[in-house]
Amino acid sequence: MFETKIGSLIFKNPVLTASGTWGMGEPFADFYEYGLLGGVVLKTLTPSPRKGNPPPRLYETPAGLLNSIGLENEGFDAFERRICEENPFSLWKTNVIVSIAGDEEEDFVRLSERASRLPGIAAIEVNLSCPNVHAGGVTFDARKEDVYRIVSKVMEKASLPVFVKLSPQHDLVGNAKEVERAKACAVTISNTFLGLAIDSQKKSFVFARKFAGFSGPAVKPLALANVYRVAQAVSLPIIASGGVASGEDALEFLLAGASLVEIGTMAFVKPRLPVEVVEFLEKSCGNVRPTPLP
Amino acid sequence: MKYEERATIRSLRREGKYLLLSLFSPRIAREARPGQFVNVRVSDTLDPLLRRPLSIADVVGEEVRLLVQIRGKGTRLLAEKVVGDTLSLVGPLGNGFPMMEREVIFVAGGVGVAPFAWLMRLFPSARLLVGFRSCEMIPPLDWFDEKRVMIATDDGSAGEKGTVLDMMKKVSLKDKVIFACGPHRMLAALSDFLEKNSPDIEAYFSTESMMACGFGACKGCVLPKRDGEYALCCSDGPVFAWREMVWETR
Repeated sequence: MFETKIGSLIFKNPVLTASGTWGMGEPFADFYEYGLLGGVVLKTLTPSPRKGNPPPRLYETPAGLLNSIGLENEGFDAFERRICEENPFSLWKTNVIVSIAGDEEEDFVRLSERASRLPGIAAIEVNLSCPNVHAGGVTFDARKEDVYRIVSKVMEKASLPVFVKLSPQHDLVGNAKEVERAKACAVTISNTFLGLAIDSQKKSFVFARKFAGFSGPAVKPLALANVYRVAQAVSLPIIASGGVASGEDALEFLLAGASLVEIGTMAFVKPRLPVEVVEFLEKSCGNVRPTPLP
Repeated sequence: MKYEERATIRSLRREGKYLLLSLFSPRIAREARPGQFVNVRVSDTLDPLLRRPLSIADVVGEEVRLLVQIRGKGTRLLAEKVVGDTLSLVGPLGNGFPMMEREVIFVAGGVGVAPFAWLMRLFPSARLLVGFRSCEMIPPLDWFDEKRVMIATDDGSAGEKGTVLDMMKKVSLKDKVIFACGPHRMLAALSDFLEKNSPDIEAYFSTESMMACGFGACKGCVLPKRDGEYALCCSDGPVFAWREMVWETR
C-alpha cells in the first residue's frame, strides 16, 4: 500500500479513525487490530474532566446523525497519569494521535507541550472547533487571526507534529491558510456541521443546548467540497473527515486532494469499516497514490 | 468478545404488534448472556442509518431469538424480512443480569418481557409479573413457561385489571431479588414502590436508551446516576443495580 508522509511521520495507509467517535480505543478492541490502520485519533481531552451534556445526546436523520455529547472526557491529568503508568500505545503498532481542546487559548499551548512528552504518541490534533468559554461560546477558529496566533504558540511548545482540526462553520479556506502560515503539519477538514433538531409534537428543541453536530454519510458532499476547496488553496497536507461510509468514499476524498482520510460516524454502524476501507484501497490503488483531480 | 456477524433468519413470525425472530448467529449465540442485547442493522442502505438495539430474548443452540415490538421505521423494515434473509448483528452487547442462587421475581412492562424468556429457563421456579396496556399489546408467549407468567392489563382486557405494581403488592418480597425490564416510566414507578415497601431489597433494572454504536464509543446513551455522574446504557448497562441510578420520570 502507498505510504503517506506528513512531517517526520509515516502512515502505512491513509486510513485513520476520527476523534470523538473512537473513544480512547477500548470500544473497538474486539473488532480489529489497530495496527491495521494508518493511525487512530483519540477522543478530545480538555484540561479538566468533562461530564458532558445531559441526555438526549443523539438524534438520527436520514443518513445522518446529530450529536450533543459535550466533549465528555476524563481530563488531561487523568489521561497523562494513566499513559505514563501503563504506556499502552506502544502495543498498538499504529500512529496514535492525541486530540486536545482548551477552555481558553493558553490551554492549547500547555496541553500540546505536555502531550509531546507522553510515551507512544505520534502527533497532536488541536481541536480548534470547540467553544471558547471566554468568547461567548464561539469556537476558537471563528476568527482567522486567532487561528494563526493559537497555532503559532502551539508550534513553539509542541515537539510532535501538530494537526489542526477546523470547524466547517467558518472560513475554512482562510483558516487553512492561517494554519499553513503558522507552520502546522496538517489540517483536518473538518469537524461536524452545525445542526438543529426540533420536536414538533412537544414544540421544543430536542437538545438541551439546542444546536448539535451533524455528521454521517449525509454530509459527504459538503465535506468533499470543503476538502477540494482547501486543497486548491494550500499545499499543506489535508486530513479529510466527513461522511465516509465505504472504500469508494475514501478514494473520492483522496481524489479531492486529501492526504489521509478519517472514519467516524459510520464506524458506529460498521465497526470494522476502517479496516474494510484499507482493504479496498489496497486492492484499487496498490502502491500508487491516486493523483488528485485538478 | 463482541462480534459483527451476518445472521440468517431461520424463522420469523409476525403477530399483531410483535415479531418473533430466530437468527442463526453462532458466534453471538455462544458468547451471549441473559439480559444482553444485539444491535441490528435493519437495512443495508444508509436510511435508517443506525442499528436498532434489541434485547436477546433467548439463545437456543446456535440461534439467537428476538421478540420485537413493531413501532417505528426500523422495526417495520425488520418485519418485512423473510426466512433466509440475512441481517448484520453486532453483539452480544451490554452486561446482562447477574446470575445468582437466589429466589428471583421477574417484573416486566410491555416488550420488556423479552429477556425473561431465557431467564425463566435459568430460574425454573421464578415467576414473571408483566403489565400491558391492553390485551392487544400482549405478545405471543410461546417462548415462555406460561404457567409462571402473571399478566395485568391497564384496562382489564386480559389477566388482572391494573398495573404490574398492583400485582407486586400481593407478593412477598422477603428475601427475594428483583429483575425488572420495561419502559423508564414503569421502572421509575417500581423504584418508588420499592423505596416505600422494601428499601433494602436487591433489584436490577434493565434500561433502554437511544444509542448509536451500542459498545461504548459514541457516548450518546447516558443515563443519570445518583452520584451525579452519567453511566452509559450500552456498556455500563443496560442492567443496573436500581440504587445506583436516578429513576425520576423523564
